[in-house]
Amino acid sequence: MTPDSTHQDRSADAFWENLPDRAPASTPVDLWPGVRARIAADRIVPLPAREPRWRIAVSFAAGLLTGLALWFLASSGTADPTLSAEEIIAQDAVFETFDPIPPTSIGGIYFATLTTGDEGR
Amino acid sequence: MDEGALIELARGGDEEAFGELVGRHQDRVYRTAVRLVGADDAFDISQEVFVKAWRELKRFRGSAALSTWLYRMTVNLSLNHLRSARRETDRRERYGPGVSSSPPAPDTALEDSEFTDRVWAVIDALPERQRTAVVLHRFEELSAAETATIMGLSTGAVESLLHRARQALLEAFRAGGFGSPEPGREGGEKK
Repeated sequence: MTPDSTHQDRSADAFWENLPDRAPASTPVDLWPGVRARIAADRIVPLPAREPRWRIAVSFAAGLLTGLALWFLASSGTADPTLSAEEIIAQDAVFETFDPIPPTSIGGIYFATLTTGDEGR
Repeated sequence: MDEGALIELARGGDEEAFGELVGRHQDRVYRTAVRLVGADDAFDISQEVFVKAWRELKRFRGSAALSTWLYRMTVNLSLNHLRSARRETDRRERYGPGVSSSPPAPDTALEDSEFTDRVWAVIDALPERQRTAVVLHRFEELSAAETATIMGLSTGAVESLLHRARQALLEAFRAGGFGSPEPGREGGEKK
């Protein structure tokens, strides 16, 4: 160590020594009661267990299939219960005019396939 | 009782043993938190440190001292707190009305206290790592090697941080018009 570096070390030490502290020597209040209360609360209310990934995947797939099934049923077309008999017959006439049914959706394609062999209707 | 035995008991769920450990370490945790985040939030941070320590005690392998582990948690939680507080301040400055500074507490009118506040305003403005190194090395009186272990750095890196911190503080003190801290002007209580 050179004399210069020794001088610098001393001056650095003196610098740090003279910095005033803003912390008290000890805690103003004992921390343990508050910590114990938090620990007790943890014990009463256990943290929720994480859902296994495979269950999340199965739930997602089931939801997706249900959604697809509902969409398929909705798009395959069902009779509107508010229509009168004449209106239903009129709609049938329109459909017969544009036979086969335009395959505008998966349900429509399926319905068209079902009715393809029903030419004599 | 020996600290190792207390740790083993606490790991097994003995709350009284953990309470004894809290009693032994709370002063250093609280002091470090006060120096990093200020007195207003230090109590909450210190409690959080011990709650986290209780939850993660099983992961404490004992390769380092418990105090080192607790210091590291204190530093991490304090710095996270400061970062979120800074984000909140930025958000308020950007979107809300300006926040007026609170009036000084009566005791800050005292000369020493005022001097301490001014010095700490400068220390608070240091970059995070420099400030942490100063707090652990200068105020907690830990060696550069211990400070390095807590901060996850090399000893050389800590010495470099301390050197840069000292330069920055000296410059700030000169620019602030109150020179370097004078001997015998210690406003805070020493350990």
